[in-house]
Amino acid sequence: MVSGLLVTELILLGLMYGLLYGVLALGLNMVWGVMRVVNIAHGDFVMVGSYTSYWAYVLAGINPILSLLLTIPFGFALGAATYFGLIRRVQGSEELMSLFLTFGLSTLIGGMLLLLYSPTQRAIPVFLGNFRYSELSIPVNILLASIYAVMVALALRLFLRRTFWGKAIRAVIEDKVSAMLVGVNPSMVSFLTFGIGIAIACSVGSIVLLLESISPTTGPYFTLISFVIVVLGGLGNPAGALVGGIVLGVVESVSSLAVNAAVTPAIGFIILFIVLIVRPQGIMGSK
Amino acid sequence: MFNGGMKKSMMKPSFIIPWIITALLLILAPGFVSPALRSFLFFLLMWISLSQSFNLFTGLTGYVNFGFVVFYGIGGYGMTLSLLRLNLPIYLALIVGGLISAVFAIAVSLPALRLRGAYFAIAMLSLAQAVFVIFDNWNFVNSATGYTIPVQYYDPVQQYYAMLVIAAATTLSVFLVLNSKIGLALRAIKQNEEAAVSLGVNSTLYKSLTLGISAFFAGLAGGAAIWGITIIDPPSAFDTTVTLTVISMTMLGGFGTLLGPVIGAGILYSVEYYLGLTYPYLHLIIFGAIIIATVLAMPQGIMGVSRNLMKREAKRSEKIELKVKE
Amino acid sequence: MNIIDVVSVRKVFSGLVALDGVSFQLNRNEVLGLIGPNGAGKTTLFNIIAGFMKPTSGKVIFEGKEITGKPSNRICRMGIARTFQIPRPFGDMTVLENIRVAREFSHHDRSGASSIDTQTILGMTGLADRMNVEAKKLTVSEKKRLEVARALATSPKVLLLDEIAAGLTPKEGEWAVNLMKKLPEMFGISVIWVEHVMRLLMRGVQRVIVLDHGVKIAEGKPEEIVNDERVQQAYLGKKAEGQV
Repeated sequence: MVSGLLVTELILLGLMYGLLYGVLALGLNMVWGVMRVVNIAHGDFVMVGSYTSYWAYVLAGINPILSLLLTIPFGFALGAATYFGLIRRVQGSEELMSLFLTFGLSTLIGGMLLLLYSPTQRAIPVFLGNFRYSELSIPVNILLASIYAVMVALALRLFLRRTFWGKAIRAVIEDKVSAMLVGVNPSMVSFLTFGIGIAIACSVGSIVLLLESISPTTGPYFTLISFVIVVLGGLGNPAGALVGGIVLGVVESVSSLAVNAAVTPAIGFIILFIVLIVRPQGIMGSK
Repeated sequence: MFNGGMKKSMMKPSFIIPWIITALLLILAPGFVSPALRSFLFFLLMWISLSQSFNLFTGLTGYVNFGFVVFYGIGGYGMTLSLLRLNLPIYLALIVGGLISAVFAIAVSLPALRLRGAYFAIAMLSLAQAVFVIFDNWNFVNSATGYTIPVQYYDPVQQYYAMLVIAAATTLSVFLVLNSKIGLALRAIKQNEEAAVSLGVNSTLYKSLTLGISAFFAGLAGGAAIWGITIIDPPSAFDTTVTLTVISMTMLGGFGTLLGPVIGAGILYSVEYYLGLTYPYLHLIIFGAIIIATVLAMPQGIMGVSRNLMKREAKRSEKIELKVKE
Repeated sequence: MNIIDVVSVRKVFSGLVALDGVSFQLNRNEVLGLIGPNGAGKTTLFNIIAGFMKPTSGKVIFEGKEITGKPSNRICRMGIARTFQIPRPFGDMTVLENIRVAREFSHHDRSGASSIDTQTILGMTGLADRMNVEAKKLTVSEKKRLEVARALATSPKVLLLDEIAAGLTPKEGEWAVNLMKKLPEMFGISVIWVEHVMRLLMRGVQRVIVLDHGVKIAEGKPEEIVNDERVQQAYLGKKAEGQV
């Protein structure tokens, strides 16, 4: 028999993982919405963040959360460099080109990480105890992860609504041509967007190090999860990304009761496949 | 990105002879090459088959099938199960594997092809992942353990010829499709799907059919590969690296061309083979770099570039002729 | 005898009513003009007749059979062909190959449709000397004519022409008017012609239907329509509001 307590814990865990996934998907969503670029390497940048934090821990004993101070700016710089070096050149052409380019990038990054770190899983022993509330017990690590996710989501929202460049980004998402007509520089917007997207990815990578063991080959898994969420939640809909993330997280978590844990990724993908067929614009999107 | 089928100029003796020689060499190879080289050729032929079948669908329709490996894997499992459970003779098992893969492809394509561009690519990618996880946990196919093909079926020479025939058949089929009514429909669809439909083209039919044919040959190649490798399990049968390798090979050689995949496979597999001996992951970095470089510098691939060069040459000689006449 | 019957067709797009119960008939061998200010719903109507969209309600009947909601490639094979307002040629293929596609895939669930041979089509659309040119290299007016050529190659019984005269020179405009005479007379093709270039349309058609805001506001002979007050209001009203 399954206890109500266990189910509640699973749901909460799922919620928290979901928030993290959702925030990751937000980064992807923005890039797609602003630049019409499909970034297949998104998840591999997560791994870059993870390994950067791993390296920081092993070399200097820096806690993954502290290493965020390193990975966020590093991620942004990496994103900017990737944008200027590569992405910019395929922005105008067919979607197919950006698909292939980022696919090549994903392979490249995965290969480099494999070369540097080998496929064995690595983990760091930073366990911060359990948070207890009446009978519930939630690991503090995941609690911190979800707090971080919420902070990022709020920060992003503030940025997009209150700052000049944030508004510029939103303008471009809505109507690029009009935005240009009122003087918005699309290059700057793209550069910022991509930088932010990768910064988010890398920072999520640092957090992931706190939660699980990492391996260079899990990059594509994160990419897929992000895509599943973006498509489920509707392209260009940031609230949808978070909702989609939570839905996916909870479904994965709760289904671990009924099904072998290894199958849960498949559930997400099967859902995605079905949703795409039945409602190509996603659960919350508009055509 | 698409370039038409073979032109009449390709029927000239100067063009055909090298191919006849190569074909003869390949046919006679097992008689005089070392086992290592024969094995190299075996896998080279496999990559050629896989790239050609990938090219058939993606090159002609412009839809990127990021889940391509699923056809390889299902073909492999289809062959294995037919062989071990149904005790079918090996060649029949191979064909059954191909057919199962084709049926699966057509079934899946009907909903999936309603999606455009990136959505289709992602849907297929997630499909491949889902199939992997399902097989990994499904008792009917022995879950994560997989199967081993018993020693009595091992016959490297036969396996080699099977793969050779498959590679030839795949290439021939691509040629036939390119020049058939299907090819015409696909070209029209790729240029402007709505216009094609308004002129009577049943685009769903042709796209599904093409995916089915692509899956058939990928499944055949998968079955033959497993026959040679003798082991099948979900991680190797549904390895995304296969899709990525095939994409690199086809990109490098040129999408939608007949010879592109052959050239791409030849170059990249040789690179992977020699590098794989010394540096295990370097080939991934190189493949990734090649894809990036190809997208930025020569999206039409090697064949596309050579075709453009030939066009320029033709124009130049026209101009010279005109000047001479004056 | 009507070859097409449009019965109370209604189309709603997320709250916006594009067509509000439009009904009319197309008679055999008739050239029917369809006009109206921008946004009146003309292209939506075409899309529905040709099978590119399903109406929210209402029926389309072709030769006595209901074709509402059938896929557009089937409708083409039944005998209704259309052109697109913005030409959609198969760019990398030659003019001849473009026409060939139309021929190959449009046969025929039907009998009695006169098949027009390619030479005649090329002659009628003035593309004979551009046969082997890649479609993407054609001029805009040639691309429009290619649209018509391809549609003709499907041996249609009904042709839906969408603004083929826009941007043409006066001489090319004459070509359009002459086309309208030849199609029914020589090939038994009935036509619905959407057009903004009034002086040409009025000379080429036998009857006109006027749409405004998704509603049919007038129907009759060209001379009657030109003098119809409601029609003038519809066009002038738009001008007064600052739209054209």
